[in-house]
Amino acid sequence: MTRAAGLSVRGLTVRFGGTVAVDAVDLDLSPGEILALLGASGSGKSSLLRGIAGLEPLAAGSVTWAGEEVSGIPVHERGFGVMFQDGQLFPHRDVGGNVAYGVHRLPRADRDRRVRELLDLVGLAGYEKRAITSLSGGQAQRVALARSLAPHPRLLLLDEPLSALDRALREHLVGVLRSTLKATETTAIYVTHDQDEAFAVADRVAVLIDGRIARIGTPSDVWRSPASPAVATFVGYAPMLTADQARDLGWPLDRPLDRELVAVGPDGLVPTADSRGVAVPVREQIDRRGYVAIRVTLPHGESAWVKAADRVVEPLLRVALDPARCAVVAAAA
Amino acid sequence: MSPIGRFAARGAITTIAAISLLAACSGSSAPTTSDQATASTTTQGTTSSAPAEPSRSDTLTVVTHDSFALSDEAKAKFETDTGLKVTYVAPGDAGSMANQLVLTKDSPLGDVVFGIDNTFASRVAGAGVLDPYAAAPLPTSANDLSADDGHLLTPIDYGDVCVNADKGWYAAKNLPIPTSLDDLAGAAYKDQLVVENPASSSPGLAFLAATVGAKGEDGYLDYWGKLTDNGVKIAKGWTEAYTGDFSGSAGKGPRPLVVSYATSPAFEVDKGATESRTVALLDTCFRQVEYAGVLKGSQNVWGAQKFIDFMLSKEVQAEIPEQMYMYPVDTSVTLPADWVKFAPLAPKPIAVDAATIGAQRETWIKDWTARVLG
Amino acid sequence: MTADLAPPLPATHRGRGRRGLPWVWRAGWTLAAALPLAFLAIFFAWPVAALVARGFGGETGATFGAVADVLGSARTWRILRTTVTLAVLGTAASVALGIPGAYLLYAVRFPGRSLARALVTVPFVLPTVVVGVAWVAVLGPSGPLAFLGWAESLPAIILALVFFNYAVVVRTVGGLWGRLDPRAVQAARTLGASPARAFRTVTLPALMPAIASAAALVFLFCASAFGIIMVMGGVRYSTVETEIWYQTTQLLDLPAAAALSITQLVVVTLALLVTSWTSSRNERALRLRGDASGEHPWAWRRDGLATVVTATVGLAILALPLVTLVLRSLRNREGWTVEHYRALGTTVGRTLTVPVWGALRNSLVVAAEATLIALALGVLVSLVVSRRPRGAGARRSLRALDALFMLPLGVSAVTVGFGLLITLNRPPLDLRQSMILIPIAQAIVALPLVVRAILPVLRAIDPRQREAAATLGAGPGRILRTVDGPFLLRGVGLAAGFAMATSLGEFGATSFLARPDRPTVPVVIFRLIGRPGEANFGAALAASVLLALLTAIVMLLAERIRPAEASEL
Repeated sequence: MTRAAGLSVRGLTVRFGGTVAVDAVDLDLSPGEILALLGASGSGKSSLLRGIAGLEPLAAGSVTWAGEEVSGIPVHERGFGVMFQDGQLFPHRDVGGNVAYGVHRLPRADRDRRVRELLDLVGLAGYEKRAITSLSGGQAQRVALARSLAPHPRLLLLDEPLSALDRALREHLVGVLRSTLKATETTAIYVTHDQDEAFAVADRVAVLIDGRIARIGTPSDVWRSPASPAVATFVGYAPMLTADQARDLGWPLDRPLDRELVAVGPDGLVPTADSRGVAVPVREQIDRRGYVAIRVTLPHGESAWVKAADRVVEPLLRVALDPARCAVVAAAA
Repeated sequence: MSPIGRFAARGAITTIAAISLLAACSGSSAPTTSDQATASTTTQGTTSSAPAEPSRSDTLTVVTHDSFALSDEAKAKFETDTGLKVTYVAPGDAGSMANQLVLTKDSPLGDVVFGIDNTFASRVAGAGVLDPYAAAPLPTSANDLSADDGHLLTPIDYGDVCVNADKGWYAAKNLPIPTSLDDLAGAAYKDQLVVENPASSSPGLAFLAATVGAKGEDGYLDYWGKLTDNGVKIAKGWTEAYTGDFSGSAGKGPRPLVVSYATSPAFEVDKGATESRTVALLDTCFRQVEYAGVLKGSQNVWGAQKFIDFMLSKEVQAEIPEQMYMYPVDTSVTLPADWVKFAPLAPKPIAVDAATIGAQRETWIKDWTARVLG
Repeated sequence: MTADLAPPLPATHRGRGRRGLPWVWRAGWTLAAALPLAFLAIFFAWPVAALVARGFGGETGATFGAVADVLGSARTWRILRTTVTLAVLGTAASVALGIPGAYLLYAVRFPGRSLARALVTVPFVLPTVVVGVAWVAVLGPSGPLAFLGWAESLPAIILALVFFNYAVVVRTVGGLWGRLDPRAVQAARTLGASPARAFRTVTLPALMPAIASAAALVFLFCASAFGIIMVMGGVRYSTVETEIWYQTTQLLDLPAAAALSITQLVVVTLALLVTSWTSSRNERALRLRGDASGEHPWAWRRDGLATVVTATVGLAILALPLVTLVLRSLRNREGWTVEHYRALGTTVGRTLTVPVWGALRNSLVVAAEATLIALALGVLVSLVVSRRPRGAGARRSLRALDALFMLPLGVSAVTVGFGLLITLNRPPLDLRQSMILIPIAQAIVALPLVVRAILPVLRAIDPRQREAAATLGAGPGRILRTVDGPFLLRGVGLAAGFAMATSLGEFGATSFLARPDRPTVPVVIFRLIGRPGEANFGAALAASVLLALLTAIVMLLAERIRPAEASEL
């Protein structure tokens, strides 16, 4: 009886010539929810985004908002905003002119107020008259965000908005992004290839592999149960161990593995002194902030990273699996 | 295909189809515009018993070459006398104009033409571009200048194309100025002559005709062979030859002999001087005559005839020397004094009749090009 | 927190559920493509086709055989070889010398740059008759370069071709150069590339669209050069263009003219195909800065070579004939004088029907009309051709459209002029004596230049700018206005300058169509030069200097009129 609120995508397919970039994807998004589309280059995530926005024609499928089909509506009437990786600010206008672009029909006072409000929100209060060319990368992206939010889009699609920025900036801006989106109660789809970014910004994460959604769920769900080796590898588990390899490294016997793999998380391998562990050769040691990352070679030949408080002197290090930091994944069929 | 591409393609295909259709229609003979006129009877020729009433309208279009000039007073007088509104059209030099007339004979450029000269006369007359008109006020002195038998062309003025010499150059070198065509081929005058290419220049063609007239069809090529051996320079056109190569002009070129007009020395008179710096060699001259004619298909034959009469009127004939630097056919008209002093006419110009020129021109040019340009 | 301030959803959020462009836009784009096409068809394609068709049949009784004979004759092939050789050499020289000039005048800032840019464009507008006289004066026996012995030789013709076309290369390539993002070169330099290598591997590929565009234009100009060959080629050098003139106007040998026109069309089409292919391979949206921050201040170390080359070209090739012209115009037989300039207010004896000032007024009026027509149509063509449709077929037809509009540059003005005589001869299109035909003919020649000036700028707009605008609610109209618009305005300034300059100096088509009572300045100069006498010649030189000055002013203005930053709010 009540229409399904929010975004609803059914069977969306995007083709480029003979290649299928997005393969019959289904997706549902509630109003106010932020979904991250996580995928490697070529996984189809940008195409999916552009297909939803209406910037790519759909080979098949439909896009619905609040029960109303929008696939036939042209981009400029759809009410879906897009934030591009390189911002795409208009070079002939100043910051204020850019932010105000989408709300040009408002009376002047309201328009100015909205611009001020959004610039405050993204931390660029007072920047209205600045020229675009005078902005740094991070400032430009913030202006782009403010611009795309100004006309109250019912859905905001962000296409790798932080990829061009340095890491520290990215980490800071991810927070700004999430808080801004939440403050404006904007429904958003956030495309990225960076797992940490996805997990930090989103309410739910969808992993896209070869044009299909391989796993969708909250960040902690996706992390705890990746559902397939491909997803597990993508979200950051490495290496994948077979049952025997895992038991060699101390996998508890009371956790049977039936045609399943153990995905080792970043903290899944720990230095240990007890008998569970196995001594493995140390290959490389890298200082990080507050710990040392040590690369070791596991008995069956694979590399893995171990975190230790200090550098080790001996050539061998005793390591064992920490089951709490590993995930169990069904082996690929 | 996107809408834009589709429409662009469709538009282009339609356009190409339309062009082909139109080209086919224009390529074949087009119906004459006179079919659509209300009252239009053109005179059919001298054989009709009772001459039909010539067509008449309020406007007159005069086609001339681009050296045509008349005083504003004369033009105004013609308009008041006849009550016509006159438009002058000058689509190029004499040769270009003649060819355009032949090209557009089905829908003529105007009503009356002035400026067809005797080198092109037979082509124009033979192409059926003109209607005959025996102008009443034609002075008898003009009778021997007529180009054809059917009164298609009426002579209006004439001038001579001659070799011009720079007097100062010869004085400085202590050389006598050449006088005849044979002198030009002599060793004393090596590398001094510049001649225009008859293929692309009217005075050049006139000079070539002069050599044919003087040496005969059998001898002219040998003469040109001698000129070539004597270092004659061939220029593309009159401007290049006169302004670029001739030492006696403002361009101060290297050569003291050039094929130009008998009237050119009248322009090379320094302020306050009693003589011109250059002189025309009167034994090398070829007479050029300019004609007027009524264009076939004109809407205003009456007006066209009136214009021709006007050109033959004493007032206009008296103006022609100053305006167009040509001699009027009416010898009873007084010529300006310094005109006669500085720009004398050749007493015995070389003449070749228009029909011969028309028939042989292309052969002459072809043979000449082979002999001189190689 | 913003909920209470949130305005109601803009009206655009109400969907209408239809696909594709609304019919208004379809009609608009169709019209935008059709209008210039119709113009080209009526005033260019139809006359040419009609005249060529006459060559194949009609009352002259000629048959296809006659045309085939001419096509196969040795003379035709010799002429073709000469034409192509001159065009290739002229293009190579112009491009090679023009690239350092483009760099110096567009990527480097120094005082007096606007003046230098304007001066560089002056040769482009001068009537060829005058240029011929000036070059003959320079290279002839009493001239400053007489020692080279180059009068009426191949080097002389090439020099004159460079003289004309230098501006085309400098402006086309320079316009793009000044807007390239310098960071790409800086990145290459930090990777260890020498300045030469950075230029070769980063800048040059980025400039390729402009270079290819300029080369195509220059090739067409050289292949169809008429006045230069006529004046400086002597009798030894005959090109297809001069031969067509000769066959049509002097001999009325229409089969021969038709055969040569077809040859010309084939050469031109081939050239256009080659450039279309090369430019499509290079087509990518460059990261253009909206301002001209690709420029840097002049520094001897990095700009020294370019400065030397450009200065040499400027002085030896561009300035020398112009200075010779000015000096000659101030002399008469006795010595220095300004009487020739005073004569501009008269009809110079009875040579002219109006004083030169009157002709100047005519020229300006006609040029303004021609520029308006060319700009209006050129903007339409550029907008249509710069679209990026999805289908490959659509893209190919747009590229074909682009090439089609370049054709008028390569086809003889004589063919068009004579063709107009036999096509526009019936009402309602009997324009043969109407004054509007001259601006129309000039607009046809200027149109390709306008398109070449505006199109690269539009093509370089990142399509995602338009997408960004669309996602912000801008419909197709607003996108055109606010995204394409500012870039369009930049191109229009340059395009208007070129159109005006071309029109002021145009002689070929005008000579057929002009009325003797309303001449333009080039017609007047031709008239004066065609008469013997010091007074006429001096007045011709003075009028030429006047024309040169006028062009310089026009180009300077065109540079200034460009709006700084177009803002809508």
